[in-house]
Amino acid sequence: MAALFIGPQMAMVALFYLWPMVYAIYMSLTDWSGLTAPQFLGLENYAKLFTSKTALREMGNTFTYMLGAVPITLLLSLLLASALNRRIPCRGFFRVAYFLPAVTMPVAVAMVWRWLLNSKYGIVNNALRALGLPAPGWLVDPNVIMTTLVLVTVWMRVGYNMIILLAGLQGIGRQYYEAAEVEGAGRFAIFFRVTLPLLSPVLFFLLTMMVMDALKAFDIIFVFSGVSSKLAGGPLLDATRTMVFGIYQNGFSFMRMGYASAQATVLFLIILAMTALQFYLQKKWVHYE
Amino acid sequence: MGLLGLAGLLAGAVVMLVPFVWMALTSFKTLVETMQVPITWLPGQFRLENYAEVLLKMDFQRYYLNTVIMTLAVDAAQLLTCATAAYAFAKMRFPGRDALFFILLSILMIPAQMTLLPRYQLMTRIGWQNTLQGLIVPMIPSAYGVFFLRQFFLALPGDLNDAARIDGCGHVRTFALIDAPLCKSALIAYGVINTLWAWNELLWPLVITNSDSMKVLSLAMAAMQGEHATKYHTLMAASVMATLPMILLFLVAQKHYVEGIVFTGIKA
Repeated sequence: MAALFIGPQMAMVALFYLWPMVYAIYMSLTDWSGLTAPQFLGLENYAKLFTSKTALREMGNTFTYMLGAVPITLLLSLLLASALNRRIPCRGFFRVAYFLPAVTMPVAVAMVWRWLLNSKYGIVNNALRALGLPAPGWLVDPNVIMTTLVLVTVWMRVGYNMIILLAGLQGIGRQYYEAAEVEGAGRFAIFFRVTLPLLSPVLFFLLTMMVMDALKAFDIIFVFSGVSSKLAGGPLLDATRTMVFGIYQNGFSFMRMGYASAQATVLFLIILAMTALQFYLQKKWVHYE
Repeated sequence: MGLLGLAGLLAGAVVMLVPFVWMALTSFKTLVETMQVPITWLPGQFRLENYAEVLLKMDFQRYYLNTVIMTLAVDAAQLLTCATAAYAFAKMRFPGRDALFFILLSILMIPAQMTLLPRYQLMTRIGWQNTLQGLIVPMIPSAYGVFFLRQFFLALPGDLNDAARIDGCGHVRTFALIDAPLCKSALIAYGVINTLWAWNELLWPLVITNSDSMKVLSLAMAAMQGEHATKYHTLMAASVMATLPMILLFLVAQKHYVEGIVFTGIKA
């Protein structure tokens, strides 16, 4: 009876996750176009990976993107959540407004942003020019494009994190604040000594998830610089190509399945290491009741 | 909070919403109107022709149908199989249960990108590339879904099931008639989360389908940017059509959806 209940889901998990996981590691040790029989190479793919300019650039870009998007999103959503945790007018409206980007198709919103940020016809640069400010080439300048991607990511993610933080804030018992007020603590002291420690498990969860998501970034890069350069390359793509983009391009455009699998394995190990690091560091700052 | 804070909050909300307003307004403009400097916000007249063009000439009907089929199929199959598995892990006793659940949890750590190539190979091997089943079936398994729903089944009081057992209810009937209806809001929450994910997914459809007739909306939108990069009035009409169903779903199921994501954030 139990087999009937868990069978379908467990069989599919095994078929589409467990087995592929093992197989990906095997593939990463071979030279394989996906058409002819795989040739065993040993660790050659990995050696190539860590000497290839493109692959190293992909790792660098992935980390730059993560280091930009994660802290800004987290800080901003914390600020928003504490603002919306008070009695203010139109709370429901603000919640929906900030959350809306999180439910919309990344490919579609990326498209809208590309138009808003168009250097000639876009409203962003027209507004900046009207204010007498410099109007950067958001989409065409290789030095700016990563900043653009980070900002659009913040726009897409901030509401989701805000909602979870808001729920965390509402879960903090009144008695902590009352005790702090009795002791005569000021607003900043209350925020840093009471709110932040009690919120730290939620912050830890969000940080872990966001780091994972950022390391797996693909959609936004594909739309912002992949499609426009027809995947061919060029300085714009080089400034933004991420590890998952590399996996996609090597595996499905260049048919270098073995090499792409090595890249996927490295990505997995990086995600694992980052998660382990955060679990190790949480002892230093996460406060469990 | 001071007036300054409220003004900041309002300015932020404008930044969040302007892209949507701009998208909707541009979708009714003519091509010439989209490229006017200085910028005009309102279209001279609301042209529904843009939508007709996207639906008929660009074959959006087809992409819509594919997306709806994929989303509904993934949703139905995933909800059913995850819910039964979650019920079994929470309420049934069988050998190897804890070991199996541990394996399931460890799978949460594997990024889908790692399994992308072998999954694709598997689908090619059995001749499922560029088919609906090839698109749908690999999207059904979800260790996360089992984990999420199990928490809710665990929270149900045990004596309800004991009473059902005494009345001669087997597990199938206990699950279908008692426990699943009691977990209705969790199932809805997960269903909404899952619908949004499936509807918006890009990478797997990009890899597994290669003909125009198999494209889903996200893929069609990505392709359109390459081909019609300057026809922004039709691109925006397409964006409205791709995002509106999910915005409506979110507005309708807001309470359940928010509870669902909050639950995962707080309990994790």
